[in-house]
Amino acid sequence: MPDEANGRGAPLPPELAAWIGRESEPLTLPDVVSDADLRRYANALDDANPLWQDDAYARDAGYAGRVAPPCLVLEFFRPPAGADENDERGLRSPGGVNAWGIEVPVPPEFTRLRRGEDDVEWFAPVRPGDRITVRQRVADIQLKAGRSGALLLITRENEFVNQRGELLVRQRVTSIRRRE
Amino acid sequence: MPGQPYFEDVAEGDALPDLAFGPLTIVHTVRWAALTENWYRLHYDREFVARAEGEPRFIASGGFRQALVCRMLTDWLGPAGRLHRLTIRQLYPTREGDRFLCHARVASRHADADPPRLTCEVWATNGDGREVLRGTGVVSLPRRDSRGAGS
Repeated sequence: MPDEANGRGAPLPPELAAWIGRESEPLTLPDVVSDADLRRYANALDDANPLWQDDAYARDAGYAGRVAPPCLVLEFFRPPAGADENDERGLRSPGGVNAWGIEVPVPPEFTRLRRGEDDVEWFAPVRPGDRITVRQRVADIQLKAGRSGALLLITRENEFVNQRGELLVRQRVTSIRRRE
Repeated sequence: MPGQPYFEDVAEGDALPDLAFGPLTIVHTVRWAALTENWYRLHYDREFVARAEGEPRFIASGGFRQALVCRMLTDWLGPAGRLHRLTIRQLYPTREGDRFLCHARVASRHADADPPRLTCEVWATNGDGREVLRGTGVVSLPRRDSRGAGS
């Protein structure tokens, strides 16, 4: 959590508290993971590791072929959504950060969004050709008094599985909403 | 890519190779926004950020910074090493023009696991030495007598 998020707890309005524990229906990514996804992701990080691009190298390392960098799957779950021309922030534009999963009804004055904390566990690699499905659960919602005003902390747990139902990655991620 | 590190060659307190990134430019953040289809203007729109987000400059996304920490670990792990867990607490922004310097240190060794594991302290600082995130990584390395093995 950012330093300021360590403030006092405040009572959570019941209409928000009711969302804790809710689970999404399984959501499947519209496209399979591709070689191009791996290459473009690695390029965005200036990452020249051959595990992400060289099948023979990855096989020598015990994989079935090239694999995705571990954090790739966390960023590739944004099904297309309709553009919202009134959304100045870009949060709801096509594929915006709220475009999938459980949309907790955050009070509209909590306009600003920041990443707070992640806890990610890996169980099996993501490979090109995989069709990824995620299940999401709202693990916690907290209202806190930070230095710069009230903060709303929303913690979601995402489980990513492949087309064989194998659990690949579990992510517990806390986002922070605050007022302007 | 450096070679393959082995569990026997790593001691508690050892520093991993740093990953030095930046200064952050709009090319970095737009490339990431396009890749992830995340069009939050916080990450590339200077006018919007100053007016609506209370930030002097646009900032890197938390996911981008986390991915760079992950890259620091996978750069070091070699082909036979594995990343098992990463926790990150985001503490302070990386703004346009800032550097993002990732560091890691071996906090503890777990020889009884198979393959043996290491818990590493990870953190990142900007060019002024301010800590911008902190966390923990759990990784495994091969033993010297299991060359070529992987999973």
